[in-house]
Amino acid sequence: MRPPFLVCPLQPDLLKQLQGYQIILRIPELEQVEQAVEQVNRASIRLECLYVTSRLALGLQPVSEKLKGIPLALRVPSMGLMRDVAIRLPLLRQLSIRVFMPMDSTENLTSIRILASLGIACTVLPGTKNIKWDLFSDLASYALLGLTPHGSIEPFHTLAREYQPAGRTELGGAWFTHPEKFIHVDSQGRFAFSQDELDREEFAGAGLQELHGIFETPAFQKHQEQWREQFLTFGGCATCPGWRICRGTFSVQAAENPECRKAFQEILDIVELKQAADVRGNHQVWQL
Amino acid sequence: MATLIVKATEACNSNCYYCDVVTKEQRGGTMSLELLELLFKRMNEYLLHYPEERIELIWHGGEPLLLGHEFYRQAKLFQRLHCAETEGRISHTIQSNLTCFTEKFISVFRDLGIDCIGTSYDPEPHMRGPGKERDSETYNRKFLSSISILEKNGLHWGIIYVVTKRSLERPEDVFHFLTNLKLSGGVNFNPVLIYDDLRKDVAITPEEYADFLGAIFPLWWKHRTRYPDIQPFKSFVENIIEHKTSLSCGESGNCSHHHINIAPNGDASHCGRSADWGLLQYGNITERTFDEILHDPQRDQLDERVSLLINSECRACRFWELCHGGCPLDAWSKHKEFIHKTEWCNARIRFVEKHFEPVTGVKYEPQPVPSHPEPACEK
Repeated sequence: MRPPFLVCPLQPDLLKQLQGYQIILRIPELEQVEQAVEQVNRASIRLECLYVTSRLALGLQPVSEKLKGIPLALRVPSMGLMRDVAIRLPLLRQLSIRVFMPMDSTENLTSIRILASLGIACTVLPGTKNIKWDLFSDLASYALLGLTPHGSIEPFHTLAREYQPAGRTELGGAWFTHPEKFIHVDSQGRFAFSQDELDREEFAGAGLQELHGIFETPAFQKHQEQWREQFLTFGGCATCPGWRICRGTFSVQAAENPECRKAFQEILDIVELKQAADVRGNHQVWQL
Repeated sequence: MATLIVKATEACNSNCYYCDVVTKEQRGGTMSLELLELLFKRMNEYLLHYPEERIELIWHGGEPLLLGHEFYRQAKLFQRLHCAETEGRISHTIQSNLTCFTEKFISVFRDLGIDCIGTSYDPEPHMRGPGKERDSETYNRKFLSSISILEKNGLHWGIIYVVTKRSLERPEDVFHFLTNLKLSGGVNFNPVLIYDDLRKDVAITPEEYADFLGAIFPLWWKHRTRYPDIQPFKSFVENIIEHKTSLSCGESGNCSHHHINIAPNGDASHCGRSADWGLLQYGNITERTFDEILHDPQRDQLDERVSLLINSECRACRFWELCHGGCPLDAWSKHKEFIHKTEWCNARIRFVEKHFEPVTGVKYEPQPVPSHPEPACEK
């Protein structure tokens, strides 16, 4: 197993201890990017990207030339006004940026499609309520089968890349919640397998010294085996046709609205179609 | 290849609703080490006499893991001791409910060359489990924990799902549940076989079984690369579309001289059901060699049955090469004699005509088969 990425806050004392690790640095707003880059350089750590969890809409983001070349994962609550985004668009397209947006609203799913069509890479974040599943699967279709050039849309590209019929695909790889790939660290060096677990203080380790051998710990094993719990009863996600690509990620939402079953069933078909198309290649026969 | 079904114990820790073993009044106990040793001596004797032959030993029960890993360690020792020249022609498989599987079995199973464990599972509550109430939650937890151990250690496993009356309510859910649990395939849908009146509530007719398969077949056919090795679908495709003969023991018409069921006390019979019903009893392995048992004259009636059926009940049937009148024991359960076809022929015919052919667009055309192939044993 490859060493995991560490998702951690901007905390100079912590960074000093992270040499040798690949780091995803969490900062609240784009204004802190310069400071973060400076700290990273000072600590001589390997930065995978800056994960900016902003409260501002994309249209209000202070993008500037200084951000060029810096890998950015920019989480925003929404796109904001199109006219504001349009002003920033030429610069946004020159940045190494991926825009993360939650799927709670119809607008966000539409916004992601618009942004992708403008060449901006995007990621749909899991939402908690009012999810329009039909739009979500439409977006998957656009992301993977759309013929016009567009920015990649996650988690669909991860699915298309990693899905294997005989294996379990971890959707969280696109959201920094894949326990084999990402460990979330707090300012005191305590760590967990997701930011939510960190917030709930469900730590997998109490200090960075425990990171070594993390994949052999009971906490990691428990995480890896959690999916089996869904098979204790005959129903719910265990009987879903799309389970192999979702693995119960939306089990809470599914309990209220089982529409996600249909969506993930469609997405699974789309992913397989995409993989088959990739195998066939782009060969086309001429036509008058 | 000779197939030995060794019921090393008839004890079981589960009380599965439809199981015949748990309802048997008289159980044969557990195989002694002396008898286990003799079993390997008999195998060696047979294989030395037939240098081209192989033996597949299926550990069965009851629940064979109740004997503990030491029993299988001892089996391996006996094999090494008594089958020095023939060991390479002996293969082992096992059928277990897995609920008492632990890490301790891993190394001995590897030593025996077991890399896949056959198991069975019912997602419906209270179909299987310990105790009168069939505590399925306890059962399921143990089962899921065991498959986790198997997977971590790189051992494969396959599921037999028994289609009962309860399955008919949610065929698609059953299909998705099992194929989600076992993503790499290896799921077999078999009909429940009920021979008493006590459990008629879960019994199904051949037509119901065919329609259960028919309800999930379109799902499988559309995505058959996603769901590999789902039986009996894969077998139907091999036989009907790919023209490869792939038949289970009950369909092959050729089980007569290949199978031996060995009870814990050494009594040899044809298969599990013939032993349960006191039919086709071939004596005890303490008194008879495998050669004698495999050539017992009682077996001839099974060959004669095939010759008789092709000229009588099955003469006009275009599916003859797919089933050969079906399992003789199934025929016996209905008619109390072997010389009839089984009622499960109707399931095969109905499934192919009503579901398989319309969905695939392929009409079954029997291919001339020069001779019967060896059957693959239904474990």
